Amino acid sequence: MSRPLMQAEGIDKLFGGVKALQGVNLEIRPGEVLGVIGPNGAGKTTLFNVLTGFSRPTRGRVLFDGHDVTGKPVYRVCQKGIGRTFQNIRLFGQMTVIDNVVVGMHNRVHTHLLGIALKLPSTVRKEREAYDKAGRILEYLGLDDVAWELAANLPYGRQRKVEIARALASEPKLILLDEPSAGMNPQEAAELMTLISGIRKMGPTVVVIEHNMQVVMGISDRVAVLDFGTKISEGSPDQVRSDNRVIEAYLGREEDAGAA
Amino acid sequence: MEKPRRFAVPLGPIVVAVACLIPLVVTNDYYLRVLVMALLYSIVALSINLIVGISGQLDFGRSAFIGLGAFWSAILMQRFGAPFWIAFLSAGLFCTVVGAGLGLLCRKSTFDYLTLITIGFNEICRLIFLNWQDVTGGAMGLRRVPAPSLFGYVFDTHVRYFYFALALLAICYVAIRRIVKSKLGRAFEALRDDPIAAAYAGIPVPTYKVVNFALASFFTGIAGSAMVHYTQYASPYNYTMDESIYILQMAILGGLGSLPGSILGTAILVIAPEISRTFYEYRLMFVGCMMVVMMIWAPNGILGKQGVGERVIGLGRFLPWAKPPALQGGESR
Repeated sequence: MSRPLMQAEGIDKLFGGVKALQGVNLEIRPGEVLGVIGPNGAGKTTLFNVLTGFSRPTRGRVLFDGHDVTGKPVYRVCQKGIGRTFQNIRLFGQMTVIDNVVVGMHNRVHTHLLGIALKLPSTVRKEREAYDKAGRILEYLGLDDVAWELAANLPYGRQRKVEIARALASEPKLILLDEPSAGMNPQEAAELMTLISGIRKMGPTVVVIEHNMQVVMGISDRVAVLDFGTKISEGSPDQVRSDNRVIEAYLGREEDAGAA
Repeated sequence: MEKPRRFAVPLGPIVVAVACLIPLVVTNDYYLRVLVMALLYSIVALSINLIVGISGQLDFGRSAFIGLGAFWSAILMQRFGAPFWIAFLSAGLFCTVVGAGLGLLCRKSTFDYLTLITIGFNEICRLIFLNWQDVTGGAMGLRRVPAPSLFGYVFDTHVRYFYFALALLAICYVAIRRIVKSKLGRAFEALRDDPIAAAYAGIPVPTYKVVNFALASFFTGIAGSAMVHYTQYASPYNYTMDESIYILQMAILGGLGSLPGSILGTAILVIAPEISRTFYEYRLMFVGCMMVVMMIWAPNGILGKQGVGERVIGLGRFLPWAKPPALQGGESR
């Protein structure tokens, strides 16, 4: 077994008296697709926030690629090779679609102020390479026809794809998708599944928070289940599906159902 | 991937060439003076656009930086006999340093607090200009600031200064446009639209706010220096918050985020009050009404994205010879 890409050890996260996460251990193995599921308010997005340094865990530590990244600023953690999409879309609305993607490459475009002011050939070349690469990513995701549109003017489903394109642009080792299929119809969700397996073949490890069981069971190698801030189950989709605690968390206990 | 061009011909050189011919037509010193001020204020409006339009931070203290550049440059030339180009460039650098310092102080402040800090900074600078008698001349200001000269060529007539200001504006415009189109400009726009997503793209947001302030202050500073050597008088009463707001409105009227817009907005707000005395007296009322109307009807100004300009051009689609617009933005299924 190779070293895990990312490791969360004994994560507690308190918001005042609310225990959003309690003693969560999670291992993300290189090359896998890990699904994170759980009822609303189970702490899935909080877990993503803690993993990426957006919020500091009350207790516990986070390792990425062998480095301790607990509570480091988001841009530092992400520079090490993490890309993320958001549950409620966060695009740069007043920028064009292609500029959104090029922003994703921020740390891979090595230009400096002097080169920019004097328009040195090396700067021009690096800029063109960045836009060419962004163009290829957009083409792969079928967004090349709207490359020069303002991102805010795109319909919802395509905005989600722009977010994925932006996250891919940084060539991350790990990509975190927060409910990518939210608001998609069944056909779009099916397309998304193909897309995620495509991303995985390109290299990055994928962690996906998902409510659509068909999607999550279809693409994940392993699934982790959160409920009330604790991890109640982990394993292959089949194992998780037949785990009693998971069924309880989603459907309630049998005697509860009988009493009602 | 190449961006589709908006205009078939390069507009910039044409505009500059036409502007070069203006002194042949306009020979009245007073008119030329107004035009020179419009050119110099355009640089300030561009710098404020870099902060407010591109990076989305509201700055009510820009005129303090004009003042800092002006006094620095005037004092350096008058007291220490520095050559013009040293005074001029060092005014820019001095403002860069002050801008970076101010940026460092408020790099983590959110929008409203940053605005308050810039107001406070403007007030501090105004009081320093007014009360530091020995250095700034106090309420009297600095008189007889020497006219600039470069390579032995003295810019002492209005026509000569017109060309100097025009060249300066062209250089600043090109520099700012290159910044906006670069990695830096994209990071500024990203942190304007969504600072959280910007951080997730690996952009150190607070650092970029400081860089943004420092860069913009450089341009404000050299514009301040160019102004003081033109009017040859530095008055502490020029660099108030009222002035800052008036400059801010130049950028807003033209369209935040649009660089040609800043020049257009400045031209309107500098030239219009000079057309009639009545207008001059009522200018603040006029500007106030205009801002109310603009904010409701066209918050993006004249040349901003989806601003007045695009709406007027958009009316062209109703012309009988207009081509039907291509369908776009539909979901691909």
